[in-house]
Amino acid sequence: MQRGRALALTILFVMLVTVPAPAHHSFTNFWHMDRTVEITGVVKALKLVNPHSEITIDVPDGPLKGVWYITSRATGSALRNGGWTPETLTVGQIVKVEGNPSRKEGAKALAAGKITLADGKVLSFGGDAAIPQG
Amino acid sequence: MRTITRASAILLMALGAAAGAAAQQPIPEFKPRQLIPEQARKFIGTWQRYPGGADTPARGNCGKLVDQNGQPRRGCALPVDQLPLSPRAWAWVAFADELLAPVYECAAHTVPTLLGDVRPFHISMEMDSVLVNYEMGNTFRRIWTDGRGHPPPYQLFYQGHAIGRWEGEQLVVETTNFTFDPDGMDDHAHLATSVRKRVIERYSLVNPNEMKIEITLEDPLFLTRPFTWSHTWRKTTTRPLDGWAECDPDVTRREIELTVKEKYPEK
Repeated sequence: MQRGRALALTILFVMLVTVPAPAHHSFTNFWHMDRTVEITGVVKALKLVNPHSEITIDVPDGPLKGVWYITSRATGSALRNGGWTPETLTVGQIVKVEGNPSRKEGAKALAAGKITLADGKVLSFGGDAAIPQG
Repeated sequence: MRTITRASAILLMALGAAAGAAAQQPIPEFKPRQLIPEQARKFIGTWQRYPGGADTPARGNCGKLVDQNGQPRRGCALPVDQLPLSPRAWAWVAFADELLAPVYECAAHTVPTLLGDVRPFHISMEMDSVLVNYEMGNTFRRIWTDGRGHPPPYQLFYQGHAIGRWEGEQLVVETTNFTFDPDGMDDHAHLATSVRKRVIERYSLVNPNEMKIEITLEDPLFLTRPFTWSHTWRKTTTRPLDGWAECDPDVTRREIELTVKEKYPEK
């Protein structure tokens, strides 16, 4: 009960301190914001930087096999304010990513979105109520 | 030897007497705030764009410009549809390649793009200048208010050279001596500005917590006439400037290369 209340307060705090702001470009111009692609792979790197952060993921097999670059839908600053640290993901960790595909055909890139860990825990990589797009 | 010792003693006594006399003189009270005009102090603080928020229309429109992906450009920093662009500016629009935009190399934004962003900025004062810290890119501008003029036109600065003066209750800032800037007019439309760019900003308080900034942009190379527009900012005590994480050009460039169609694929 106390943990639930603390989580709710944390989410409320993040919503209060994180003000959405347009990025250095419009997401709609570069990403199909009306489409969603899901990949599962191994984390190769996490960079919490501005204007957008990046996760590198290796999808080992299947039709989407290859190295994918995941762009955050929020600034690196907003992610840090939302609780992200360079240790939030570790190299070798298996994650599922839901994100919007690139407008450049064939590019292995997503604007995410939702990161689901192996234990079922869901992290926001920006673009939702917890960490607004920016 | 005795003579030297006696002379030293006399000298020390003389110095001591002088120091004592100086100590007895009243030291004028140092009041640096008196040198900052009363009206200027009202501008000190953090200002938040009004209205603001994601996809805010306050960021301006991009007219009918289309990007390299065939999408209408969005979120421009100034009302592009009203800009009196010169033929040279239209030629630049036809030539410019999104992949070459300096912003994707983590280059800082300049005015007027900085002024068109919706992230907050903070105004502070020194005795000889106004300092503006923009959250966007953690960019600082120093506006000299000590009466100096601009340097010769061949001395160029990426952020230009800004001088300010008070006209009654209004702070008037003139910035010139810019370098050529591929995104100097707008970072979303990628409209360039030349070394002849001149930006006049007029800051005036509508009330103690609301400020109007009127901006006039001149650039005889890229505009057929000066263009003026304005927007409103509100003072905030609940939205401090966010610490801007470092920008990584490798990450930024990769994002753009993976999302934007090449304009010159033959190269």
